[in-house]
Amino acid sequence: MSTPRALWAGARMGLRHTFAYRGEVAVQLVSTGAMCLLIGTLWSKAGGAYAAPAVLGQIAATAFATRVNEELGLKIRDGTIAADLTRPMPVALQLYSRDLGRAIGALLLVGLPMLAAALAFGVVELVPPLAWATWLVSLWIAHLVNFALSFAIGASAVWYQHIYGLQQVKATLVGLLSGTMIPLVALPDVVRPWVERLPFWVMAAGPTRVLGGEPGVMIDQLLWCAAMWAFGLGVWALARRKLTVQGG
Amino acid sequence: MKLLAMIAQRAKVRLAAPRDLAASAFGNVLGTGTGMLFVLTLLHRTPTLAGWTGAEVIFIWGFAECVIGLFYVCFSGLSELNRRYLLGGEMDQLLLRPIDPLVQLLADNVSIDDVPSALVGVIAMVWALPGIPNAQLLWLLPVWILAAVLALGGMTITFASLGFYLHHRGTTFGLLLHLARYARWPIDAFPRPIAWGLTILLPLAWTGFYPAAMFLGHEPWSTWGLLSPLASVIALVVGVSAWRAGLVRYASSGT
Repeated sequence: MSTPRALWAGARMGLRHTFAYRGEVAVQLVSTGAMCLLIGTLWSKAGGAYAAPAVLGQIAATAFATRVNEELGLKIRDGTIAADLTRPMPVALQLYSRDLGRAIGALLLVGLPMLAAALAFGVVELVPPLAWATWLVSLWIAHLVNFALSFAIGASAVWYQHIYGLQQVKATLVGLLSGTMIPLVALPDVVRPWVERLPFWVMAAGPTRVLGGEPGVMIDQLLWCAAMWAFGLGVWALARRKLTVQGG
Repeated sequence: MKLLAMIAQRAKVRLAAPRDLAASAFGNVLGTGTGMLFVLTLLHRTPTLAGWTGAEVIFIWGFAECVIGLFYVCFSGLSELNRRYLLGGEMDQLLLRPIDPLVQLLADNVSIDDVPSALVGVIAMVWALPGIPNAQLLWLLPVWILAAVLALGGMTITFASLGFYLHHRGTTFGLLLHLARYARWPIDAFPRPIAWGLTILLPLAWTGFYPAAMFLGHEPWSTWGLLSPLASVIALVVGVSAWRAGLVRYASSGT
């Protein structure tokens, strides 16, 4: 099977997985809706300019979120990674294709309904179709960035075995610095330039700025994407050398 | 004694991976610190929130954060109930031992990683203290924190007990705690239907806002806050009843 076809097959598998667990989707829909309402209400008290980016950040998070760190870490711990290594496709691409399908499913079933609600309640304004198209591309890059970072954390299970703590740290940094909880425009002027030097902002604040008419932000996203993938694959290359799977 | 031995055993297991424990505790503190930064950034843009001063908002937030931290320390086992104990078959082990299965479930999963999160909540409350009007009531604070932890525990036990009926990996635990975030904020900042929903339908406001409001002298919220211990008793009775009813239906997975 050629690589694009294998990628497509993996993505379909991830998408089917999302559609199969309808209960989980319902729970995610309720929790994302509750978060959008909470964050949107609180930021609307601080001024009209903050609610929209905060809610859009929450919606973006449904698409860029990934559990690949957990999945890869578990595979390394229980040895099932051995089966993935025998397949004629790099492990990163195998995991990425499934995760992309899951992300598309989450966007369709959770993100877009939330967006429709935000539009209906006037929290987010309608923009031309082209802006929505670039927003989707920007979301895809955001997912690529988060995936690569998470992949590196998952690969670190080769050294640490338990990576729950690292996952916590990563989740917190993404939550704080990506713009999902605090819109970057709301940050104090002294802090914002520092936050914009880190990769996290391209995940949530990036797509929001693209939607707001700054397509140039996608260049920053692509640069961070390349850097994160180089980092993720580099960590994986080192991890493979160290990896030992017990037979049985 | 048996219970203490179980908790000590759990602590020993967790300490076997000290680097992960440290990273996890650091991650939890960072997570709580993130919440604190969220509050401070919000207050940087708006000095008051629905009529509550910055110090009051921080006090409510710190109170709720302390409650959530202590809740995780004591009740993390409920997050494992469906997947590990009911579907994975480990409930059989709990039923064979001479201690109540619910107590074993909780003791078996005590999470020392979350102690620092509770401490961050305490630090936030201490920080906000100079701006708190009813400071003479603060000697009641530990009791009201305990009441709020038990109220949240009771509600979570009720939700987790659905696992006995649904036979699903389920994420109601996470959902409930997601919704519990509302308890960290003054309830009158939200639309009225949500405020009532959090008071009566899914009474999460009793796990943070109401008990904290008792110390802040805002009527009618302070009076409502007096009822916190009663709310925790009701939540616990409902939770334990739901657990017992579920346990009757339990059928081993045979694994």
